[in-house]
Amino acid sequence: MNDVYVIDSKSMRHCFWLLWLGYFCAYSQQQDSTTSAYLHEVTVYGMPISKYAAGTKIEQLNLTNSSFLQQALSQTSSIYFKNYGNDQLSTIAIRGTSSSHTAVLWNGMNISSPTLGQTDFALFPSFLLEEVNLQLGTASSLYGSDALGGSVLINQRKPEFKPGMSLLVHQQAGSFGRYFSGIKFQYSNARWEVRTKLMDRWLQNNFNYNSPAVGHTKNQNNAAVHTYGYDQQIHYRISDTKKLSFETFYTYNHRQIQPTVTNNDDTSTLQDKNARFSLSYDGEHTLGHVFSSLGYIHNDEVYNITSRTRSEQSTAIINIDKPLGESTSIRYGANASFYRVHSDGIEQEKKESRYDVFASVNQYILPAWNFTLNLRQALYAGHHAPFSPSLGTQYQIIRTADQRLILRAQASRGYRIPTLNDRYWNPGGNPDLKPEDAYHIEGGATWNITSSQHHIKTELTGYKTLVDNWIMWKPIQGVWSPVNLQKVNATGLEVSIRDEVHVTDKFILTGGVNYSYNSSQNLKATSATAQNTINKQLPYVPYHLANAFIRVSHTHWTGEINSNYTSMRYTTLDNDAYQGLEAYAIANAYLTYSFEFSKLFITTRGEVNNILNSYYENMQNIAMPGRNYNLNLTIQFKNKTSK
Amino acid sequence: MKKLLNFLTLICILALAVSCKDDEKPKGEFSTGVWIINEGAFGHSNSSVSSYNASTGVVQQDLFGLKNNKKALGDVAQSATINGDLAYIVINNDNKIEVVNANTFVSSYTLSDLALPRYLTVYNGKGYLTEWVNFSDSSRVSVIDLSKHTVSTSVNTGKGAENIIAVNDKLYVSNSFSNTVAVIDPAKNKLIKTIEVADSPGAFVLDSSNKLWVICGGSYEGNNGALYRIDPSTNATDSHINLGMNVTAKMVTNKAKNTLFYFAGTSVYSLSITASEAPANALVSEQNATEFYGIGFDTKNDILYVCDDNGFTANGTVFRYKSDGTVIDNFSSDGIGPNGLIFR
Repeated sequence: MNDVYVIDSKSMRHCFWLLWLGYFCAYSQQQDSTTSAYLHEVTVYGMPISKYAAGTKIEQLNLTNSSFLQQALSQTSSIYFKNYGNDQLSTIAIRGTSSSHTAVLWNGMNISSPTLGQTDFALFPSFLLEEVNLQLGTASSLYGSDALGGSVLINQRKPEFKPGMSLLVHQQAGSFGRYFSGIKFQYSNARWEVRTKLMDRWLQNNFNYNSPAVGHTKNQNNAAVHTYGYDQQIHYRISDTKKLSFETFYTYNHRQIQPTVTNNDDTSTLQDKNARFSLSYDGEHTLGHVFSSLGYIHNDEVYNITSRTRSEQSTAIINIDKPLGESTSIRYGANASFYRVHSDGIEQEKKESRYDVFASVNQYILPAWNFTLNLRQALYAGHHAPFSPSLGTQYQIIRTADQRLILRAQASRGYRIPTLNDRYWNPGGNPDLKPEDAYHIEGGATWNITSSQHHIKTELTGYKTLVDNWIMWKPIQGVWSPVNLQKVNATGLEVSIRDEVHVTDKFILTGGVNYSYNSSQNLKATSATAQNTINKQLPYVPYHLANAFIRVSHTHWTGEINSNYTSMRYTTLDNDAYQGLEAYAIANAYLTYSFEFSKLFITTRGEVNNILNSYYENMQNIAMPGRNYNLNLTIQFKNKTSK
Repeated sequence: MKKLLNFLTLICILALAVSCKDDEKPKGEFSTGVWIINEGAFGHSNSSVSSYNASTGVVQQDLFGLKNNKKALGDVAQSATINGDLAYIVINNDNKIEVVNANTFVSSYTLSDLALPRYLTVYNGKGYLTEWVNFSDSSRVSVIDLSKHTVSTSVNTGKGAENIIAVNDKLYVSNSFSNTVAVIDPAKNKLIKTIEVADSPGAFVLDSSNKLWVICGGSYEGNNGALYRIDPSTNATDSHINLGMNVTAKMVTNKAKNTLFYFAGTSVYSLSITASEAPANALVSEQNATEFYGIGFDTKNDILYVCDDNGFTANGTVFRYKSDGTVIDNFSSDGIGPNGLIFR
């Protein structure tokens, strides 16, 4: 081995982006990761996410410009976040569904809280993540429970086993006492690939705001947040077609719970510790492509020092993907999960087992036309979840060098297993709850046009989701209890257009607009006198969401201005306009300067958020910050060994 | 003819005089009507007080916001008490009392730094406020100097100090996290006795024979709600009625103070003060409600008002019944979680 360390700056940079998932990437590479990535061949250990998801819309998230997953997801369409303050609890609502209607999978395991059934997206530092995809629409046939509005798929970047090492340090300082420090290290050779990431973030969050509900400028009290975490991955290449991967992902988050604007003296706190382990095997066998994994998750949440909820989850997955000739492939497998929960709200320790079996077929009718069929049956605590099939298709009508037009459609059934709190909370838990049941159809088109100067991408999607047995807690004889009460009809439309203009080799101009319309109508009332809640929009589902950006990139510089618009939201089921939240528009900007210095690749970045200093709310009477600033410095060192 | 004219003039003057006397001008927009306390959803600062005009059926929404530049009243309006020209609105989760002009609803001042305040009563010119303080230590009654707007002292009562009433120069406080009623001597600001009742005591009613009733909600799934009668002359219970179910610890009485009204779920029960056991049947079993959360009795018009919270997901509904349980009508409370009413 006569390894000589050489620096090939061009390929070094290329590898860097591949390795660090476009961390402050050079412009052209960044485009690849931010483009709507529909049918972008995203691979997870050899199997692309889209392989059995014909007809659905999948977007790969750009994690570059976000601190937490919540920010990365907000850049896409049809998503509304209920942010309970700045970097506070952040729950998702995709396509007019509720916070528990999004499946979140980490290395293939559903990691939603088994007690609350939802995920706090402010607990996922983007710095620790590598590859996140969003699949919109009902997809229980692929991802199991909770996948009604959409699914968020968090995965490892595929290891490459290219000898070399790299080190990255990142430092951020910003308004309201924001400090973020992060370090990433990777070493790899032909056998091993080891990745380590560490981060620490403090946010004082003592911003001033001027809420009409208060009538004067006030300083936010009790909203400080401290987060730290690490991600450790070890990949071992058994052979060219067989790999073993181990990952530990840990985050600690302590937050003072930001109170409402009228409060002056709250001292509530919430502490979360989430530890996740995964050991996965990926290999080609005569049986097919085998992906199997074992996972263990430990969640520990403490509210106000005394009230504690702990949950453990162990999951085993086996998944076999087998081509049957030129135009057909099948996939089948099973999951088993075991949960154990200790909670102050559930009298004794609660255990539960869940099993899923699933099978899929991908069939090409023509080279440009295929169908996928997925089937899944889940069992939980001895009950059957609704059998969930899905059928999708896509057809490339135009496929030329400079144009591509794809039509797609899918229909699916989805379900959500009631949470352990729903069934066993004391008092009120209802063990007889049925799973929520959803029927979904969607259709869309993607049209990409490429010329020497322009790269235009347009996308149009329409969908309809009907969710029945929607679980709602209501008081029954003085005790709050969940019931399969609601029925919701969600329909919507999503449009996006973007154009990347290569004015010269060094000067690139990009602009884009996303718009979504979401109507989410409640079809059942809690009582006869609550008839005025029927055919009304669900609370916290804005009818209109839009965002737009324009970005200029020239040699070392990149600058962007973006803005987003959220229409008014009702806060009550009877759509009392007086209690609705006003529509808002926010504008942000940033400027990045990147350069190389010896073996170092340095990126500096300045951000201004909420430039117009607008007061707005995601949740009723919870303040969000006005204009604020962030400065970032990232230094990347990389050494590549080559023969 | 002239005589007749004079006579008519006299009649007119008399009529005017009489009508003037009867039509004493209201002191402000909100010195008449029915106030509905909408406590709001916890953690949303969307509490409000709305006003219902029984003759027109019109509900005026969020009086505080309406008269104070759209300001929010606060997080969880637990109760309101009127004393003279001021109304004291107790805001539980903001640890404050918003004091407004009871006739115009214009904000007067805010009494802050309280600790989970619940109910206020005014006795002998002083305010007596129950405060839970927290969920583990002893609760207290704080004595408020209503002219200086300060808390002068406080008296520990037991756990979960809830409703408070002044009877015969004594203050009675229900300790809702326990099974006791505390008796305080306001002259010395001292706890003088703790009376044992049933689990989760709440509202008091002083009946026509000057006996003090307290309603006890019962323990969870204990089906052991009860009414206890306290004799204020001895500060001892002299009778009780087991209700055989869990009830909401809220209760009102009619004008004659000889009938008690309480509720559980979507049923309202009435009980004569001379009864020896719980009523076999409900006075009202409301099929159209989600869950009753507050109760009030309009003694002027002999009408029972019951508030439905609609699960706190939409504005509440107020149902009206005659005192015999006959349905009158219902209307929206125009706010979240109506928990009580004040009849002006």
